[in-house]
Amino acid sequence: MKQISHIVILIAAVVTQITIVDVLSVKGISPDLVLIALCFVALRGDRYELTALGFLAGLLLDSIGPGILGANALAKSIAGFLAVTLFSVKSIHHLYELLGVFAIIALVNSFILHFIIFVGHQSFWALLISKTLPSLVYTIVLFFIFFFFLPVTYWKRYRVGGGIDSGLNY
Amino acid sequence: MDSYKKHKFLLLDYSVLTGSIVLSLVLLFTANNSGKTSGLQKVGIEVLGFAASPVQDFKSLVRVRAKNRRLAKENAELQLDLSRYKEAFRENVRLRKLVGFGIRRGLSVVPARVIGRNNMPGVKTILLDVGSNKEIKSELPVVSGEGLVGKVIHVTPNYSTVQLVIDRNFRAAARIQRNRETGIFEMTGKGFGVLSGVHHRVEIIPGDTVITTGMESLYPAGFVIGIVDKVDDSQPGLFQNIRVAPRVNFTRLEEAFVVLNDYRMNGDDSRARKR
Repeated sequence: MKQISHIVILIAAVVTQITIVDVLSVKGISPDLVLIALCFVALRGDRYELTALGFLAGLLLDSIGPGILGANALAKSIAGFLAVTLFSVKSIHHLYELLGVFAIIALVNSFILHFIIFVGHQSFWALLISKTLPSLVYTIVLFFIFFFFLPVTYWKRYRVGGGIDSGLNY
Repeated sequence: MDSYKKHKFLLLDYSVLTGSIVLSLVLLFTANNSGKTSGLQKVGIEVLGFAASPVQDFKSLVRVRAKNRRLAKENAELQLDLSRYKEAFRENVRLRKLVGFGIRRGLSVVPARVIGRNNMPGVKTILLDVGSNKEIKSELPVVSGEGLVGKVIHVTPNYSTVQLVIDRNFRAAARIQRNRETGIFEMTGKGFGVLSGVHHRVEIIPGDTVITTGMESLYPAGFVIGIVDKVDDSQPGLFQNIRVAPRVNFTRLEEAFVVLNDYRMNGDDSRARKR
């Protein structure tokens, strides 16, 4: 049942990403809602599960892209694996610590995508600053807003900060 | 026992991670080189199209009142324009016959709804709710009332993916509408495009309209690509650096038209697209 709810959350995030994310778009910069959903699910899911779900969600996103099938699949599967690993660190007790961990995950995800999409491009670094980093910051801000309004007890109850499911459980 | 269980799960974790990375890399290095829509991609497009369609329906419904009001106003204005253009068209037909030119045929188009979009930095595509069931094929041009939207790159029975003009890999033969000067339009990946291959001596003014030439086999002639934003002829070399802002507002794009027919002229079949 838990796994089904995770799949539903991620499919909803992918659909939201491709349908109504333009409402949130500022000067062509869009947040990565799938990454936020993946990290939300990572609070409860197992590491192998999140890696596989990240791969599938990424593959769905890739399917409507022009010729980079596998880019999001790679970035999101690594992000899923990292999310469960880092969220299991017992020293996370505050929202800003959670935010810091998310920033690391988002940075890895964005850099993998940027590298695959723009490798060899003459403006590789300029595009990193003008496109990828603003999108990364926007995603982190949205993650903060989302978790700010989510009761602390919710995310502490699960994996983060020594909650009942703290640690990798095995 | 606990230690055995722990190792078993760790092995599972790392196996799934390795499998995902290997699969992704295999896809990156194999699926993207063929230029065709892979089976996996077709399944993905069909699943996303099916899930995104109701969301887009709801989104359209929310906007329907404001849109109706805007369309009614636009319709009235267009009716007035149409009566003037009909007159001009008849005059054009008469004059073309006089000088022995062929008559341009109308375009046959399939209307489509935009039901999804990929908005990653540098990668710009949209998902349309029409596919091979409605005679859509790869490489067909897609237009809107504002101008050129892009070209179809992947087709499934019910949906198709369109590479937008603002995608960093987009290129098209283009022409300045005012003085008919030609060049190549390409996107820079920074939100604007450049028109390359225009000589320093040619006068280009910010505000000039850039349209498709129709000289290549892909896009019909006369569709607006963008507006000249900035001209820099101070750089060394033969050609000017012309910055072009795309015309179509892609964030607000809800409908588009896939162009099906050839845009040949009567008596000038050499320009017909081979399909």
